Amino acid sequence: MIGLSLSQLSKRFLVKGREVPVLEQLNLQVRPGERIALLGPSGCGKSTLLNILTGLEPAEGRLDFSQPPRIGYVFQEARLLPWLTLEQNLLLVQPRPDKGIVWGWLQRVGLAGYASYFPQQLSIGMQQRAAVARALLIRPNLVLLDEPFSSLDELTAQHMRQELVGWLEAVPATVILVTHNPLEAAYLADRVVLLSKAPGRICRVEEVPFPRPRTYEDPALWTYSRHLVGLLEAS
Amino acid sequence: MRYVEPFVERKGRRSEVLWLGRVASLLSILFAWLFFSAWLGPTVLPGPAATLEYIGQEWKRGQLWLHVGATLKRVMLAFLLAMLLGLVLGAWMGRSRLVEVLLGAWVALGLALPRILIIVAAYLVVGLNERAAVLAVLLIILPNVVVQIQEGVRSLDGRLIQMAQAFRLPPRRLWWRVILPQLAPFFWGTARSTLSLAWKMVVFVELLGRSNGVGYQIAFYFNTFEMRGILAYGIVMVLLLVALDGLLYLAAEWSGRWRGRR
Repeated sequence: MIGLSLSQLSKRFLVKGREVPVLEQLNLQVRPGERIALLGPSGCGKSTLLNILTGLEPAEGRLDFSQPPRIGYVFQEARLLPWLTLEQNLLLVQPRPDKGIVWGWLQRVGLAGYASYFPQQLSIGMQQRAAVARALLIRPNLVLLDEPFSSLDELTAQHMRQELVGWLEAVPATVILVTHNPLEAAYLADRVVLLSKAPGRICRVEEVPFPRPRTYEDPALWTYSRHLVGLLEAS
Repeated sequence: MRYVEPFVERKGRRSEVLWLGRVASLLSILFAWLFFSAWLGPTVLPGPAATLEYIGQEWKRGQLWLHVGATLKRVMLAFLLAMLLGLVLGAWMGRSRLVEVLLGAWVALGLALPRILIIVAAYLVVGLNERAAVLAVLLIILPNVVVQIQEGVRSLDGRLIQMAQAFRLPPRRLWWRVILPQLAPFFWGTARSTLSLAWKMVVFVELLGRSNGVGYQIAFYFNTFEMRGILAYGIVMVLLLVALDGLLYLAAEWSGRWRGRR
């Protein structure tokens, strides 16, 4: 498991010759194995922060990892290659393709019968399951989840969040979740980092006061998510 | 009660109609040829039977393959070189703004230059030889390949490339599995139009400065006003090119077979 530290991390985009700040002076310590939710309004730079962590975007400031990161990334959309079968999509990301591991994960996420299917032959939910499997089968020490269930209906999303908790047990990794859904943050995270409107600044870091695993049946979870909504509005 | 026709049956009937349409289209060409041959007379436009007979004679004399083979060799050499260079340059220009700026003027020049000027200049500079002929055709068709591949690279899905980069895919896997499959429709489309252009240009180049090939034969038979010879060589070459185009079409269908899976 990996720990990471952000200090004075800022990001600006050049738009029509003008510098537009997206993230400003972020300071955050993430402990190994911790699950962090980045909660904030649309356009506050949450996804940009994940891209910075992955190395896809350069940024100002410091970003330190406690060990070399091996990142499993789940995007908002599945981003499976439509010309490859599900099995080939999963084999693609492995440094050394191993069918045994791929089949293990396909079984775990309930897609073993669909290995030879092309992504467009599957439902959005199934595609997203495959995307989660793809991120976890490389045995990542850092899992980045960018609003992974936002394209699903809430009922399916809740079911997948419950399954995700189980799947993550098989992968000892630090998790960073980007979401604008306070209930998702409360259900999955150990700490919730609240970001302000653009340019994104950390305005509050909340410890989620419930032990894991959590259930949706727990009324306290819903009350707590409403508390997060209040904080979000106040920020 | 309303009867709903089964979907599969309708689909089957539609494919039969399409096949009949294809056959009808080919037959209409044949009938038009027969009609105009009868109208204009066999000296001006020989009919299919006379042309076929002439093809047989040329084959027996050993002349047919000599000339068709020479043309085919030039077409394939210029075509393959243009596709290879065009793929590299087009991809490079599509990915790098600097390279696009540096090579943009050359591509624009290549597209704007009259084809006859390129052919004449190649013969004058390199000499009346095989290299000049292939070079002229290459210079004519290359800018088209570059432009089309560049457009293909520009339309790549950045989200898929970002996914590949996030998972640290090695460059070879990134190109083979992520970038080239996206370029495939552009590549095959470009290959088909380039092959067609290459063949037309090779005939032109041969007509102006070679002593063999289909273009040379057409010029020869033009001077002797032998329409059978012109048609015989023209038709054989067209059939060969149609066959090659068919292979490219099948390759395009094969590479895009995943699109039909719904």
